[in-house]
Amino acid sequence: MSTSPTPRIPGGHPRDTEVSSTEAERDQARRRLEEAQGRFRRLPASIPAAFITYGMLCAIGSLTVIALHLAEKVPPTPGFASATLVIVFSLIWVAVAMIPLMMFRDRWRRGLGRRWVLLMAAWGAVWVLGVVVATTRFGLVVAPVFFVLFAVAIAGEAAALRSRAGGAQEGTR
Amino acid sequence: MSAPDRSHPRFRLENELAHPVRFSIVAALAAVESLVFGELRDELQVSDSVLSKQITELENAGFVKVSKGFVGKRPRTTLSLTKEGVSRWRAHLETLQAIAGTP
Repeated sequence: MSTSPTPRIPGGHPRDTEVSSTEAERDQARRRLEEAQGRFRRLPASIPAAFITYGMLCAIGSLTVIALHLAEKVPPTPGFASATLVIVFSLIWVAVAMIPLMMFRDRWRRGLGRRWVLLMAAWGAVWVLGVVVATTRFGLVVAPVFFVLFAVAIAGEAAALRSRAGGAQEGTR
Repeated sequence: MSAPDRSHPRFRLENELAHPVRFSIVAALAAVESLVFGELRDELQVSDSVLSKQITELENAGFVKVSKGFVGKRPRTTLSLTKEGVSRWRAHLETLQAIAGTP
């Protein structure tokens, strides 16, 4: 009768034909899971600085819409385009707000990348809408929407943080 | 002689993650969108050469994506898990949970 060499399983344990795990296997699996859980909790920034940028963008958006609304009420003055001035300064501050984000990269929790794209798309859409309707009474309705955007952003991140704290062993969610 | 029973969860473990450093690399990258090479090296407390070698193994296995860029004139290597890597990591953890007998 021929005997085959003892095969190895991934991880280096001797393969056996039992369906139940050995105590050594269970111990090693638990240690690995604990390590994964520890890294999962420790590595990402608790609240990424990107949300400071997002807060700035929302404030800029809200104030831009209100400023455009007020600029419409300024009597026309030759050589002074109040609305253009508001738009130019608004865009400069948008650019300034983005600089720290590009210069200093946080450790973003997995999943924030996709959420960030959605948040920026929502901000862009509200900003364009706000600029278009700023001179009408709807402008005063759109301006506070930026508060809602920021609240949604923070609430989403807080929910993700709580979810991770409770289910870190699931790896990614 | 009967064929070995392959229903045990240990047979679903990823071979590439058997190595402790590779396991740690993937565990770290699974928590974040991406990490710079130096940050990961400091986190794992391994040398550049050890990390580089294991990253290459994981890249060849389809777990890790390596992006090279520049910050000013300084080169920067950014590491992240691939989509396939994320799903394989998740399956690996589920298998470990099955072996450990945790829910």
